[in-house]
Amino acid sequence: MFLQHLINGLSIGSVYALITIGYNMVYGILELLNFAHGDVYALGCFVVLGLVTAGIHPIIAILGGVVSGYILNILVERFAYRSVRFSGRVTPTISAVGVAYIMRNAILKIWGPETYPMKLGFRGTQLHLGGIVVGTLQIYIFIAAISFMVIISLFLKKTKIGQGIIAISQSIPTAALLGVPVNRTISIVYGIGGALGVIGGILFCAYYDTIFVGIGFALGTLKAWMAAIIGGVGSLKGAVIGAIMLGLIESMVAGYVSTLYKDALVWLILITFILIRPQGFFPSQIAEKI
Amino acid sequence: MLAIDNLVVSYGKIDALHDMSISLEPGALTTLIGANGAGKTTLLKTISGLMKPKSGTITYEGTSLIGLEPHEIIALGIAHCPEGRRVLARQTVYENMKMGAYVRNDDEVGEDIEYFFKKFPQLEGRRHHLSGFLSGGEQQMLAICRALMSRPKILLLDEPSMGLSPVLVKEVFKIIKDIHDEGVTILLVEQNAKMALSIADKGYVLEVGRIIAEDTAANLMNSKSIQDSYLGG
Ligand SMILES: Nc1ncnc2c1ncn2[C@@H]1O[C@H](COP(=O)(O)OP(=O)(O)O)[C@@H](O)[C@H]1O
Ligand SMILES: [Mg+2]
Repeated sequence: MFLQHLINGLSIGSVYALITIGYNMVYGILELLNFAHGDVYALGCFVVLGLVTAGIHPIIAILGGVVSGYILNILVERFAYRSVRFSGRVTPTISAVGVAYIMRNAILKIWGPETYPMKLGFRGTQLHLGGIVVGTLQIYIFIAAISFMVIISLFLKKTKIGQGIIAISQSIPTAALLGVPVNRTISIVYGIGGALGVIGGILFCAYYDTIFVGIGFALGTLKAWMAAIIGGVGSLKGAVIGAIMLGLIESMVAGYVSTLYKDALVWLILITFILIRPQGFFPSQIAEKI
Repeated sequence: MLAIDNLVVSYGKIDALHDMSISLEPGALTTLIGANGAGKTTLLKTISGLMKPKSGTITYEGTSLIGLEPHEIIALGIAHCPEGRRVLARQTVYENMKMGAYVRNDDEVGEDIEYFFKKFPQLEGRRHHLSGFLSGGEQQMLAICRALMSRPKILLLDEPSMGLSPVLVKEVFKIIKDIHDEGVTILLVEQNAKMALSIADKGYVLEVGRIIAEDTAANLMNSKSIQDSYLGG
């Protein structure tokens, strides 16, 4: 039984990880809690639903969703955040909440509040190992989360744009003086954040076979935020470890204590954690202005 | 090579530079001296595009720099080594050097880094260390080398001697002189007027946002009023 909960926790945690990596990248560069993160990826996931419903091959549909997440988040940064970038913390946060509402209402307008089945056709098979059941999808999700963490780390460390991103996260004026095109680079970070969000969101939908408007805020922004708090806000390693821990905590609480009070208990654990270790397990690698 | 005319720059309603005019001759080492708060940093930030002027012109080899972004200005060949060094503390010495070449697209960046490492063995020995752990003097050398990595035609230096011990100040000024000898046009901003004038060709004296004197460095050194106010009598 414990192993089963462990595996379930690992796989849902991996979904959260993909969502949180994008969230933490965006946080790392501007120290902005992007409250629109989940709603951007929810809209991207609905684009996938729309394309699949229109008869388009799921892989192409997912690519379409990922691209729309990339573009949407770039637009959000361009029109909602850029002009308030240097206006302290409160103004951009309000702007972000506003964008979240726009996205959410766009979804409600087009698709309504219903829950739709999300048939992507890669449920895979169930492997029975001893007493436990492992879905191949669970394995893919886990591999995807780890791979994206490695790819993003390499991108930041080894590419020119990645180094520019790290420079901006330390000091925008210094990066600008060295020749980093600040606005363009920040756009790219938002784009990547949105794209990764959609990938995480799609895996979430695939895992539960459903999609509804609530996957954005409650299951996206909030989970990413919780995972980031546990792992370390702004840190990539922190995103993955925090998210996987969150998945494990949820799965253990649901398995051993109560499904009904799962969310309440998880919040209680989180709040306790914030009180004990507010900086998370891995204080940011790319945030922290000098 | 660089001509600044009637420049006015302000923070909100308060003008920090009033009607300022300065020109840099090709290959010359020009220094701008002035007390803390005179407006030296504001001038450099405006040249490199970090601040937008209220009015006036900045012309570099015939092109106006007004309205250009900092990354466009460094790409034209003007590098700004900022006050307080501003090394990227979370990146290694090597990565900082590479960042200096961000606007370059040639394949000689690695060679250039090795060239500077050979010249400054202290940096070489710490190439994979995070820059935040370097000493003040090492950070200053890194900041200067990093600015040179863009292969600039004009180098803007903002108080490179600030916070360094007298021995290191001497060393930094020697480096600046070497860069000058290699033909780079330099605008050196300093509070340490004596040292700055001793290596410069030409000097400007800035007082609360206005140029109050402009002459060859030698003449400024010999001027009674400059001696009284800036060279410790
Ligand atoms: N960010 C700022 N906001 C408002 N005033 C500033 C700012 N930076 C500098 N100033 C003011 O502009 C004037 C010139 O400053 P600065 O260019 O930094 O002088 P310097 O480099 O010669 O010490 C000073 O009066 C300073 O107080
Ligand atoms: Mg200054």
